[in-house]
Amino acid sequence: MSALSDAIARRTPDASLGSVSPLHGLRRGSVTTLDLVAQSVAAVAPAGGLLILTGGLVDRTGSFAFVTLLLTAAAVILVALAMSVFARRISAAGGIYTFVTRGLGPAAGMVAGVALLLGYAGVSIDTLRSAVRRLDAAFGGTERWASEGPASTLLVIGIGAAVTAVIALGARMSTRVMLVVEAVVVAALISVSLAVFAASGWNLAGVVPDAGTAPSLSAFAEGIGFALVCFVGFESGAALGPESRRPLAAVPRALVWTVGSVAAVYLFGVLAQLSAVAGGREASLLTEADLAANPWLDPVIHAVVAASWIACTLACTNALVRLVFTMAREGVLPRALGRTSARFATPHVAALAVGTALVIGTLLLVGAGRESLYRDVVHLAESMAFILAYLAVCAAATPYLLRIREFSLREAWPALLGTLALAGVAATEMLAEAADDATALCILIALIAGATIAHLLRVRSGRGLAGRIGAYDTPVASDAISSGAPARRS
Amino acid sequence: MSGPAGGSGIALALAVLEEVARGGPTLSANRIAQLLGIPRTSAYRLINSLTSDEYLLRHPTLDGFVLGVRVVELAHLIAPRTADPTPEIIAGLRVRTGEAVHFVRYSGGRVAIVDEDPDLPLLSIDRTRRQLGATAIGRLLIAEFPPLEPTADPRAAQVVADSARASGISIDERRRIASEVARLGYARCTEPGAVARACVAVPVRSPERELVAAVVLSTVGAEPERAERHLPALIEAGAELAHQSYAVNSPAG
Repeated sequence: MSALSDAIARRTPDASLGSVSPLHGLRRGSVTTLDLVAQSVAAVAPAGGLLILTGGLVDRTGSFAFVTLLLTAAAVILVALAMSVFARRISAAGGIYTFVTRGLGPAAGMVAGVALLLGYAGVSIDTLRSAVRRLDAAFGGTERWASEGPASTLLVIGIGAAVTAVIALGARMSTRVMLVVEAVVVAALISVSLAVFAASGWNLAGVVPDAGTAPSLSAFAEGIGFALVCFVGFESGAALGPESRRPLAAVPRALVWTVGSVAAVYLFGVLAQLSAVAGGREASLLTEADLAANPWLDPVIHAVVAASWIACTLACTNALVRLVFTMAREGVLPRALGRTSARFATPHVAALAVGTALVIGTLLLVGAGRESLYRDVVHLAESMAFILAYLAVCAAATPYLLRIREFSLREAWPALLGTLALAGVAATEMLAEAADDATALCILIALIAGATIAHLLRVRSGRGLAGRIGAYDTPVASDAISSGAPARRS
Repeated sequence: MSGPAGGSGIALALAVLEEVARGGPTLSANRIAQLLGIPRTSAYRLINSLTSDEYLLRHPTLDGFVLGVRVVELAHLIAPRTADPTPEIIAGLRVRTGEAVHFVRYSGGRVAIVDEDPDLPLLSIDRTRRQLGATAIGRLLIAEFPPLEPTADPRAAQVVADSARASGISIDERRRIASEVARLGYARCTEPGAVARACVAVPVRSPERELVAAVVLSTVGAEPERAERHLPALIEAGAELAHQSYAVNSPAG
């Protein structure tokens, strides 16, 4: 008899494994690959991204817009492949935070962790604020609700409470609803793009950059940074890994699918935009003339975009809750935040805490107005924090493969190339930001550095934290069958 | 395990699982590649694909892997390996009788062809598996689960009943087959026409008298006598197979 058939015949649980996973309490296998894609796509909010990109990217890089976007998409795919190095091996609710901790240790892990906390919080807050503004524009009538008025406050509290409830109750329907919302919005935008394209006579001249009008290197790098932000959130599907079916197969697939499809949508949108510009039209998918001709179009667009932003808030808050939950289980954050609901198998305490922070943070943003430092920090977190986290995960993949002694260039090259690309983007963005608004950048860096130093001191203090950080969903005894290795008959 | 390098994907995957079962959770991916004599990158890829399908699990603290509970699903692929004397016995039988000899297993009410005679292959593997009334192999399986009688394995009985119904075999026909096999102690079948064959299938039974396999002899031409004169040799081989697999005296025949 072979050792394998021996093991199968005995079918005893493997006693070398623990009886519970560090992430116990979440419901394993309850999420499908489609739900992971939905989570990632909703967090990216491609509808919003497309609206921002089409105008903004052409403004910044002119005829190089398509090339810029193509390069950015390639860089993001490298990040997705670098994440897959980890996601093929471990299933972690902490996502990039856990990956970087496993690859580069606690200091870099905490830099990525705090960056993600700030990033997700920033996106959640900003998109909730934008959703309320869009709802105002759609249904507020001509006078509009005053921005600090009770209507806005009530909407923020109401949407925040609904988002918290959906996460705490673990409503699986929510990801599907998010996907449908995004699909409808993107389909609408694609049809508008098609119409624009057709009107310009399928003019593809915009793809080829005009060397004569090349943007400066800094403008080009800024364009890449700007486009990169429109992909932010694709990594959030990894946070649902421990709850998904066959996560080691599903998560890498979901990441690459999300990036690929979002990139395709963006490239098409920008292509249509460029063809419109070449045709002498305004650099916007919908012109004032279109809106004037169809008065019903305006509120519909606002309502649809609001739905897309709310889905984005939900998805980013969801990822943030999983991150807080992981940190609490490790003992990095208060333990109470790591509790799970026995009935719904969700991190309901973390959901409640994050939901409360979301509402307060958004109300502060509503109250702070356009020219506040708080708003600048939130906006910077939405871009810079993610660029840092992506850089960290690319840099962590190779050391991780070396550490587990499975390094091969075939698997590591996207991470190595991604590290170079992201380092370039991060440096240019930092320099541009330092020249533009050094205060917000300093605050962001101070937050990340402070938290990292405090974390390192706690890890070094030797209270067992070192052994608990980097927690992921480990196999338990009942997942495995014992091999009873010494038996060697044949 | 001798180097399965160059083997099929499934053989290689099974070889990896076998190494993990032998080596335990301290065996690293590199070491597995070394033991199997395959390039490291191929080993990593194979191991990652086995872990993503949860046949293997990464040990959280040690360097190596443990077998996932999913490998239990592989049991039917492993089963032939447990009867290692089979190929020799079957080959011996081919030499002694000078006719085509096949060996099949039955599991869960289905036919698994383990060793098909290369000189005179089965007319159709698909037909052997599905049209149970048309082959001696299938008739033995039908006879094992006579309609409406109690059985130790109701799920397998259901599978057989469904296959029989799907190929248009009536309840009465199943009863007739069962009584014929009970009377003879083996199953027989002749295939008339241009590719005429005569075939007998002798059961191999477990100590609990369950049908687990069959030794099958097939001859060219529609005369059953030509096949049946080898029955003593087949029954002897069946007994030996049962003895080798279960270390008990043969119940066959």
